[in-house]
Amino acid sequence: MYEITMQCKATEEAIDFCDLLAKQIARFFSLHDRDMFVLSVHEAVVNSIKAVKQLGRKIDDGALVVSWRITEEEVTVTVTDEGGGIPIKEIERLGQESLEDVLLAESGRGLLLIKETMDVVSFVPHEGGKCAIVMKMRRGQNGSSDIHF
Amino acid sequence: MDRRISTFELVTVSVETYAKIWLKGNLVYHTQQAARQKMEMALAEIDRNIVIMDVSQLLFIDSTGLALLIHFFKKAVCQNKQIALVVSTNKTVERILAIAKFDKLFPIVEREEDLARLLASLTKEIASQEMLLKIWQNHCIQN
Repeated sequence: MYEITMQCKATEEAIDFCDLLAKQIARFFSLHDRDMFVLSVHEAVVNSIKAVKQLGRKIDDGALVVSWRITEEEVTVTVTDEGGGIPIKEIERLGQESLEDVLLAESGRGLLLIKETMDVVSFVPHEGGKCAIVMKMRRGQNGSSDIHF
Repeated sequence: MDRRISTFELVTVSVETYAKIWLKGNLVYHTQQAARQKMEMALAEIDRNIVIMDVSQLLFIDSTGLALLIHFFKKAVCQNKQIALVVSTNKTVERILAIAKFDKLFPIVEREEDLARLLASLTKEIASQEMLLKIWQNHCIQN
């Protein structure tokens, strides 16, 4: 088993770095659906960057935390941020909406793409009514996601 | 020091029956500003009704990039233009477009030549996006 925790500033450079890391992890550990794993990690990181930016203050060095846990069966990625993560309202929306519902929308696809492409997506409550996202993809196979609130 | 590696480029070409916009690089959150600007400038310069957006050379597209395509689509449709997407062999982008259900809005074409041939064979003008989509879907069923 491997566990990696990465803590950094919530900047746009961090998005590229996480993309790169996700690609390498997906490749090294033979994730079946590598492209969709990279997309999901990317979307979660972008969500965090947006949340931190919305705070509108100076960005701290450790504002974004991405944890990777790799076992024989699966890879688990947890993304948390100083912005407090994803609002509960957004998570509730996930249970009710599909990508077809937002076909003409110019926002609101990120979490739906994660739900569609990862095997398991769950949310860990934080204070202030926001959540961290935890997502899993099995190694060597792929399936539709189950959401656990 | 900023080590950002994501970039976005756009090239526009006009042929007889349509205009073509090549999207290259990363159509993502952190290239959105440049991408939006370039796409809007390209649309303003296009004098054809049919616009083919070639996304085959995109290295990556995320939800922000998908939203930008929708933004472009809405603007184009307001100007009475019709849009198709060419994916060529870019299976990753093709899959993301399919997951996002974009095939319900755009003809998603593997080979530009197929669409070009179809457009050249049409005897009446394509009046709307729905009409273009329908013609393409019928063409796919027949072939």
